[in-house]
Amino acid sequence: MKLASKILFFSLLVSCGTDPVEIPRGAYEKGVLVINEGAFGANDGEIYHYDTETGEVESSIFEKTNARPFAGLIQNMRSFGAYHYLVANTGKVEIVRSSDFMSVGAVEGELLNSRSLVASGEKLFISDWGAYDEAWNNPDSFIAVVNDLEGGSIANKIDIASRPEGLIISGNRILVACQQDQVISVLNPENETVEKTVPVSGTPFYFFEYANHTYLYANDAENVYVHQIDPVTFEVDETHTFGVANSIYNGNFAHSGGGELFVISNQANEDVVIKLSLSTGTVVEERFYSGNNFYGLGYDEATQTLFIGEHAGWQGNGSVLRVNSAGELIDQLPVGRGPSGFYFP
Amino acid sequence: MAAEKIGVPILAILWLLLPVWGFSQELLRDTVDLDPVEVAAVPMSTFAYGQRVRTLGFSEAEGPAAVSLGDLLQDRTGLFIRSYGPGMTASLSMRGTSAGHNALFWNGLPVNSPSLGQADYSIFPMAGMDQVDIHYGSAGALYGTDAIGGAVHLSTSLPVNKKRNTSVTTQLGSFGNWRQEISHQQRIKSISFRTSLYRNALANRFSYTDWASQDTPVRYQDHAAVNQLGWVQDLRADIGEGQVLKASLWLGEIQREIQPVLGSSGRDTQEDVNLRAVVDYIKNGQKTTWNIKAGLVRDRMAFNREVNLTLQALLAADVDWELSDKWQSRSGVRYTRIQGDLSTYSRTEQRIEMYQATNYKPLDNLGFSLQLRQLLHEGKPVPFTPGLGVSWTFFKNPVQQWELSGNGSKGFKVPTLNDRYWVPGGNPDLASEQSWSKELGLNQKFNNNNLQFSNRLSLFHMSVDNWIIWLPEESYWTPKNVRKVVSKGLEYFMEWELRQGKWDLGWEADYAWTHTSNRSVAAGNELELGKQLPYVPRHKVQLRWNVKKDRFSGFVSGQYTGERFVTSDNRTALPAFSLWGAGISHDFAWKEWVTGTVGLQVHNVWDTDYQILRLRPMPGRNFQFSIHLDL
Repeated sequence: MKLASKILFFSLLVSCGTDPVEIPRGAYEKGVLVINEGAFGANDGEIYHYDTETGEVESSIFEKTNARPFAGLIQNMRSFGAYHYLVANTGKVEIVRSSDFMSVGAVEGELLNSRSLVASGEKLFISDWGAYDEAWNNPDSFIAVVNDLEGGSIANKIDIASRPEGLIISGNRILVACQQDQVISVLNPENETVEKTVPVSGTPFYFFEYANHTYLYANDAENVYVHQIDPVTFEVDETHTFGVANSIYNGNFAHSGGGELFVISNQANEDVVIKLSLSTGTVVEERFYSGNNFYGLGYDEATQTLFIGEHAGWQGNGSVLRVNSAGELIDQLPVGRGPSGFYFP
Repeated sequence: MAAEKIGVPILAILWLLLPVWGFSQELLRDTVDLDPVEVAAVPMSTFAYGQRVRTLGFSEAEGPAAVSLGDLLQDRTGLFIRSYGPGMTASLSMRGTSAGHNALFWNGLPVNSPSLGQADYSIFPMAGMDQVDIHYGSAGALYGTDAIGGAVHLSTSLPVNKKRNTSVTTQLGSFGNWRQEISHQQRIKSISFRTSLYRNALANRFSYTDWASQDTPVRYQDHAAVNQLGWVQDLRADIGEGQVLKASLWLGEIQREIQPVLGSSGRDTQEDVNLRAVVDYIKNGQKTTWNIKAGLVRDRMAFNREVNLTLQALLAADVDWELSDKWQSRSGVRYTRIQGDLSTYSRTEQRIEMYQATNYKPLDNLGFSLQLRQLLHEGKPVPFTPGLGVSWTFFKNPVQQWELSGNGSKGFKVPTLNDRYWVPGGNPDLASEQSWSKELGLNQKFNNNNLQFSNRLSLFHMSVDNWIIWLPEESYWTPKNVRKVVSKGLEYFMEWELRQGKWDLGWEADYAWTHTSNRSVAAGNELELGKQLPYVPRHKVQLRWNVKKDRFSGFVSGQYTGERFVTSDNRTALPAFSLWGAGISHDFAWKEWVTGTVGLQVHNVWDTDYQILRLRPMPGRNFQFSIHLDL
């Protein structure tokens, strides 16, 4: 027995000395997180989890974990470090641990119409449209600064061009896509000032990165624009213009990770997913997939599967259509109200 | 599942019936403790054999208990009120229909908003009415558009036996709530008038659990204040030879901070200014009664900075004939001009309706009602609307009466102005919503010297087609005739009253079981097929016990509202809740010229944390102290 114990102890030492420490992955650090925006006036936004191994969908994981409803309309979910940031356009940000979705903090109080978020150093920068005026414009948009990655009160509000939406860190600056004024605002996170604004074609929504470049997705009634941003001057280096009419108003799209984009076009009697190529600058497939009530898109690079969120006319909960690379439906999953986005850990 | 659906209502009925059968005596009415009111014209409900009309009266002492019509219906009936908070928007659901499928009248004037197609039951304070009549079930042929699920009639009346009376009521309640009302009534020869002024100031600073925030703190509501002012004027002139001229005016204003849904920081405000005026000329002949009615309803709603204004002008004339003991008839015509100046459009339209109602009573114990109505909307006919009812008393003796009733009727709803003209999205090609309704009823009444009780059981089946739903299209929403809904259910009402010496004991119970089912839905919404409509509880129970001895009276009340689905696919639900209340009051007289009542009530006795609509917190335990004086 003594010999056996020694061998076991030795083996443990060797094991610990040679392998990296394995921390079990949390339940929500694998599979797919489905962001359900929620219906206006009902504040029933929630996160669902899809287990790719079992095919099971777990509903309302925020409420189940924290024993309270999320109670907001989820505009965006961003992930930085060990946390997910759930940004509600009803004026709050909830911060949860990525591993188990347990709430660790929140930003409340002065947020009005918060849209998205980025973490820089120990600060959070939250885009917020601000209040509406009589003409339903947002002249008092701002970026809220919180000096703690776990939330708390707002330390500063930076005036910014109207309707700030997506944000990204580029070098040592933060780029903010401002919809109404159709500009990129360049923000210095150190002194919390706007250093520059860059006009762009179309209504800009969200940034993404591909092949060591930063891109910005924008659209208007006739076209989809993908702007490549210069990493030093933050000017537009190059614009790919795709003749896609009536691309969805919320600016949702999915990037395959390999230079292909999927966008939703609301056509007369149906919604169509169109596939675009950044490398060729052309529409690859005009009808990759079609149906009704399409609202959100996501692309799982691991399985090369497109996830399409459909909102069921907002009368009830929506569903997710999983579509393979050939544009064929794999299955349909029941999810929450207004599935608008997906997160692939 | 089947056992649950069928078993619960049957068990509930048996449970409700048990105490009634335990008593081996007497009487009932189909009303609740009402003061007698005089109606000069023949009421529409006269032509409603086979249909259920319940009259809710309220004594001056208990009137102040309910702030608004919405509170009254929620507390005293089996109807379900979708309330967004105390004093906030409240809409009615009858027999599983939506908010716009019920017609609301004040002194015979339709007061549903022509732009929204529905009424906010929270802006009708009790000071503006003496009686509430609830017509259950489809009654489009009797009342016109909107009366698919039913109709609610509010009326004022001047008691002709009072020469002069001045009353003052004040009520102090929890959360900084204060209500006042002063009313003066006088009769000078053949002219009677009454002037009532009211003011309701509700701070609504109730505590609630903020489920939307980390650690779910308890907060105090800070944006739900309501300020309401109003003037109600009634005038009645008996001008001889069986002629009566009646006029009523109601001018009301209500300013509200809109209670935000949990998780939102909204600071919306709403101001409603409503003017309602009606004049009736009534001439009673030996065999005929003529009624000419002119009315005006002006609604101005300012939501934040957006102003919406609608105006309805109505002119109607009808004649009632007593052709013989067996035949009774009403023929009439109604013209309505509607003008809407909304934030995104302006529109004017006209409607003309012709209607005919006939009662035939071949036997003392058998009566039929036939109702017919044709509405021309902008000169085009909406579908012809008939209704037929029958009532048969199959057993009757000096103390007891049993009756079977049944009816089949059609209802309709003309699309609202917003449905057709809102920019963007309005759809001028919408068809009217239509319903077919069938109903069977069993009624029993017992009455002897000291006990009266009654039971009423109704079974209904209703199919609503062309149901309008707003659906998203490209960048805006648009209404479409997409849904077909079948609603069926059961309503049971029981009331008894026992008088023993100086004691007067009463009990009433109201139960509604409502099952709705989507039979056709918009493309892509197949998950909704066969499902219960959102916020239609399958079960609602209301109970009330009253006791009165000499000058003392008291009550205990309870209500149960069953689970409500939040979404059309029935995957999200709100839990059922029960609320209990109690109150005592004492009548007094001081000198010879002052009488009055002092009362104390407690609501939500067990401090239940509940939500009628999801994430809309409601107040916990609260008290009301009231004094009513008659001079």
